[in-house]
Amino acid sequence: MKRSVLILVTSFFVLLLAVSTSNDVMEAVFNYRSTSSLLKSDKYFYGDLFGLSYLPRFKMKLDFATAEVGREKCTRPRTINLFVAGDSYLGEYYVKDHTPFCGVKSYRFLRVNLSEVGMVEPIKGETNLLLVEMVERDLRRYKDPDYLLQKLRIEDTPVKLTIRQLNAVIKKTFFNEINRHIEYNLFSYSCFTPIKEFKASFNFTFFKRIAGDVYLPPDTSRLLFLPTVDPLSRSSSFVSISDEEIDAIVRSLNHLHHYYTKKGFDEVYFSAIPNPVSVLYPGIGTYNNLIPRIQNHPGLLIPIVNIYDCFTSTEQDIYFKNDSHWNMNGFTLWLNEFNKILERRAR
Amino acid sequence: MLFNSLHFFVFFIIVTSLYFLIPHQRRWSLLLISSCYFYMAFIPIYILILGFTVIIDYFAGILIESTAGDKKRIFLVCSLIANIGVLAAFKYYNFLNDNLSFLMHGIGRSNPVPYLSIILPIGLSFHTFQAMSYTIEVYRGRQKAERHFGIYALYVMFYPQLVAGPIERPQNLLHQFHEQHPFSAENFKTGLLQIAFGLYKKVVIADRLAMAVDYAYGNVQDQSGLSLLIASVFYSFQIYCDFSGYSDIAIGSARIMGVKLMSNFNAPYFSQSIGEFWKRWHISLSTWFRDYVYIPLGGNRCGPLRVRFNLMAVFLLSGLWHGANWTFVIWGTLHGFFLIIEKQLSLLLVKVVPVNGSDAIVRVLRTATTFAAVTAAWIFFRAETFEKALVILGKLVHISPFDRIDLKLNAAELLFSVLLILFLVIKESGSVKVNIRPNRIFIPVIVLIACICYFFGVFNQKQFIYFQF
Repeated sequence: MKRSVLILVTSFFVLLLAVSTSNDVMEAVFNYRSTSSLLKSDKYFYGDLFGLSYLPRFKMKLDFATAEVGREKCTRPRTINLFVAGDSYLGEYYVKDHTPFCGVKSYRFLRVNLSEVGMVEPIKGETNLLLVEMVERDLRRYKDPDYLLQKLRIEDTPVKLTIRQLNAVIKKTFFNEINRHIEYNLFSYSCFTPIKEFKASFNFTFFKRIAGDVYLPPDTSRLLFLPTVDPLSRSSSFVSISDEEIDAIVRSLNHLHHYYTKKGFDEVYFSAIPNPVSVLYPGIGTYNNLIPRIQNHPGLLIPIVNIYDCFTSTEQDIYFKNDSHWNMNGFTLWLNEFNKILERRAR
Repeated sequence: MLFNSLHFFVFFIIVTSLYFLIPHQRRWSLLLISSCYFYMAFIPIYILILGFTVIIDYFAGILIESTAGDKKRIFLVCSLIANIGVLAAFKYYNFLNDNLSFLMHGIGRSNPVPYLSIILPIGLSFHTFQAMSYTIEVYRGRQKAERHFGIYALYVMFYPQLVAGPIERPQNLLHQFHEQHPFSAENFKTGLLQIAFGLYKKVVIADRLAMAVDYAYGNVQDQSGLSLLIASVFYSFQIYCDFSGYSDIAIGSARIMGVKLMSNFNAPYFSQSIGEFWKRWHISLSTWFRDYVYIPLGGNRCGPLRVRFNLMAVFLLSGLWHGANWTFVIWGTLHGFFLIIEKQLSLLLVKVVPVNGSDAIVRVLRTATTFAAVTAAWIFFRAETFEKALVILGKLVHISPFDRIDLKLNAAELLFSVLLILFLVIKESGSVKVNIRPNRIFIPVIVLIACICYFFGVFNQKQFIYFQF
């Protein structure tokens, strides 16, 4: 009897470890559970920042209703093939197909943060545009030219397995995000949410402390992603950035532009999405002006979709209060700006 | 894989369950594979370094045992060179190069020796010292060379104590891998309770205090003397709870499988002298230095000057063992000085004022003085640079009770942290004893500790301090 129980326990945990180790299986688990009512997780359902902090007052369902309100009309014929190498700001919650884009007949989204980014190939004889989009907190990756080569596979670099690479491969294959995966598989169910909320409330009430990578700004009206606020983090809007680093980022972006236009794209655009803290609370630290410094750099050759000026001047609420992303207002403002560019191209 | 992670939780359950499911003859291979997996969760490729030292020392042990005279000594020296060589290359190369650069700069020249772009393998000093302990003991004839390669590899790589000790001796550990350990409820309860309390010390006390300490030591220029004093006292308890918490989890994990590891701490802050402190703090390391450095140098059995030299040498090495940084060297040297002064003073005091050691006030004063000295030395251990440590000491000299306290903790959390420390002190003093063996007490105690860890724990995946050594 005891032995049978032990075998059962062991089998369960071996299975759990195996599932949590495999990135592909975890993606399938994540997709399945996001639609399952029985195994539903609240981790991202109420916003990624709620899922990190579990503060009950920010437990609000994210509204992705694609209201056409504020979206400017476009009557241009759809002739453009649009390729977007972007992150979650343009993920499937915001854009499902080509229809929101002016003059665009086909749309292909390549998630730059994931490994399955393929080679971007323009379609011969047609208008092909490429948009590279990235949130401000990840922009400093561009200071390293290798980042572009690896993530966008700009060049067919011969595969040479060094010890460092072998190490990275083993780490990625067997230990990638394993704690997060185990937590998701073991404890990330709706039934555990009240306990997590109680813990979060208790710590906040008595110690004014929030768990996870979350920051509560002085007006306490929303949650912010801590690495974008902490001046010691490389993702922060308040970390000091030298002019040399800005030059390096601009060189990388120019390289990107040069490579893809040479490859056959009619134009390559770049769009940097500001961290919420850069727009809403630039005064809680000394803003490093990363986006303005790149966009106003005299050496920048890549055309930009400038959303920073628009965001800093608008009165609208453009970011979710419980999520690190923009809400539909923010997305629509960006879309209108981009559509102005597309409209000119579609003529 | 950190002991305070879910990954370890799952790993531990799997390994322990399998351990009791499979026959004794197969257990060494299970533990060895598990230990490799455990180590590779940090930096996978460094398993090769570990493999290198294991192979060298395995054959060195056999060769040392089967030879005599100079040959025997040569094999020992080769083994020690290989071990210290790995340590020197990975831990001390860039430190030495830094100092060379400093010296070259002083004479207006640039340093032509290149730096190595390497990350220190986790727990390198621990498993290297354990491996050296084996070859030295075989050389001294106090341990038979292990012929079973897998068992020997397990001696170096046994996962509970692989990355931060206790640094075991072959006489205590090797035979246990040969013995059969059936499941024992007594071992299970003792081990689980030790794991639970170790986890409590790490996530509830150490990692909470770390938030204040990291903040204060991260901005020493902006901190008041009072803030730095509180942060320094907090650090004394943080490092104790962090390291002894790790040791508790290691000892408890092994205990459940029937393997008894040596004790590493014995309420060190109750010590009444620095000498006593070193008998209670990181016992496995201090006894290592005693057995393999201090006594071979002559120990206490020589003239007073030589004894002082021996003490200083040991503590200097102990400082260097902790890290390739002058702050660690100064920390070690300070302890050496404290011990020498203590010896002088005790001789003097005994002659001038005979003190009754059982006097409560005297005991409290001694304990407080020892704690103050240990805390002062920890400042060098924790500070990132020597200059920062001096700034902290400077501010402590000009301390005022009206200084502003800014440790990123509100009043409630500050008070809570102090209460946690007080609770720990009461528990360590041994004044509260509860028999937890009966199931009706054991189960609620474990559940209570688990709940406290969950609700009051700080889960920021903070690495154990001693992993870096």
